[in-house]
Amino acid sequence: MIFNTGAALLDAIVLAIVSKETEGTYGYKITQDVRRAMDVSESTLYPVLRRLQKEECLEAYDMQFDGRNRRYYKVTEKGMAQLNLYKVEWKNYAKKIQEIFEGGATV
Amino acid sequence: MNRSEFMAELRKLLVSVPEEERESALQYYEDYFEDAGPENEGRVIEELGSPEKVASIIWTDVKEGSEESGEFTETGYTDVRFEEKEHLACREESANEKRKDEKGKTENAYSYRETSYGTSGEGVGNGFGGQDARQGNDGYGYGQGGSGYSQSGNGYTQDGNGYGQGTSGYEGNRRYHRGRRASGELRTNKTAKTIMIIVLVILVLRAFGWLVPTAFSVIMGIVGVILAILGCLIGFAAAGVGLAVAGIVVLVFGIGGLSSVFASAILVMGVGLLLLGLGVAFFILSVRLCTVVYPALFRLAVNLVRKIFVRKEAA
Repeated sequence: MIFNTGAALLDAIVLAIVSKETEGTYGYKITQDVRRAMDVSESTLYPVLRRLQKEECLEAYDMQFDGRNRRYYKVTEKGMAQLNLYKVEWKNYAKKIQEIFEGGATV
Repeated sequence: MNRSEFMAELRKLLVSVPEEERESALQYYEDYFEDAGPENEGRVIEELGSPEKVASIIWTDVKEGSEESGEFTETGYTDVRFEEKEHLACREESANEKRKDEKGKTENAYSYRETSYGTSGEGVGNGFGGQDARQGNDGYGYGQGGSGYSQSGNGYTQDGNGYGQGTSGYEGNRRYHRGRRASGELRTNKTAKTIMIIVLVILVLRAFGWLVPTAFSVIMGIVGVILAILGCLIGFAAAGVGLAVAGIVVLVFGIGGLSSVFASAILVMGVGLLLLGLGVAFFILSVRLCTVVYPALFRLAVNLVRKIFVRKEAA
């Protein structure tokens, strides 16, 4: 991965991944999914999840699995709003970069 | 290191974190290991890096959470420095794989710092804005930190968050260079040390120049004193013996003259006995000198010599 993954982008990615599961998903799985897209360290994800929780973009609940408690994360309404904001911003941003690369826009 | 060791160490390192945060984080990683499964335990530990790294990330995040617009540079500082150390350590191994991974880590660490600044909605713009400058640079998170600083011009006008972001970016850059220099410094330190040792030896030898005759004279002095004492001893002994002999002779003479004049004979005998007594006393004194005074003097001499040597080393 050549490009630096900004924290906001990381937040957006985590929100997007969690939002894909209607019932929510758990830490390990989130990390594995993120790592499929980019090379982030496994220790980086926890603060992201914690922060999104604090901002009430994610909510956590425990569910029994295999005889132990597993913590699941689900996107809240606020989280969805934030995610949409990110998506729009990303679209604009990626478009601008693409224009520069393709040489379409005159500066 | 296995899972339980890792978690135990992590728990220890998070002692300064508020209990709720600590338990939450530890629970997360326990669950993480559980979900990964025992077969992935080694890989997970390798991927997480070290308990120190994980603890640092948690700690920084907790700290930043409690400071709304406080010292970003401070926390960015620790985070960066921590990541940097690992950075350098990895570099020493110089494996391409490692470098790629560490780059990823560095990016995360760096981007991680921005995170706190982009907490609020307005922060989002900042985060992206900051990114603009950073894209298109080489992969080193810290090289980008430089442009992050120039970006801070924009960030500053937007809000305090952006400024903090830029500053820490700059700090990151500086930290990185200093880290680099640190490793270089380590190497030069070793040569500096050897040079210092050589200089020290030369200095000691130079000091030796004036020290040698002084030491010699001191030693001679000590020898002289010892000889004097010895002489005293011999003198006392000789005196004792001589007096004793004289005493015996006079006694004998006295006994011999007993026949002629009794009184004077007794006197002479008395004198003789006195002399004998004195002689014996002197002799005993000399023996005493040997047993008591000698060891004390020896000890004194040793102490003196030791003092001289200690003084030399201190110099």
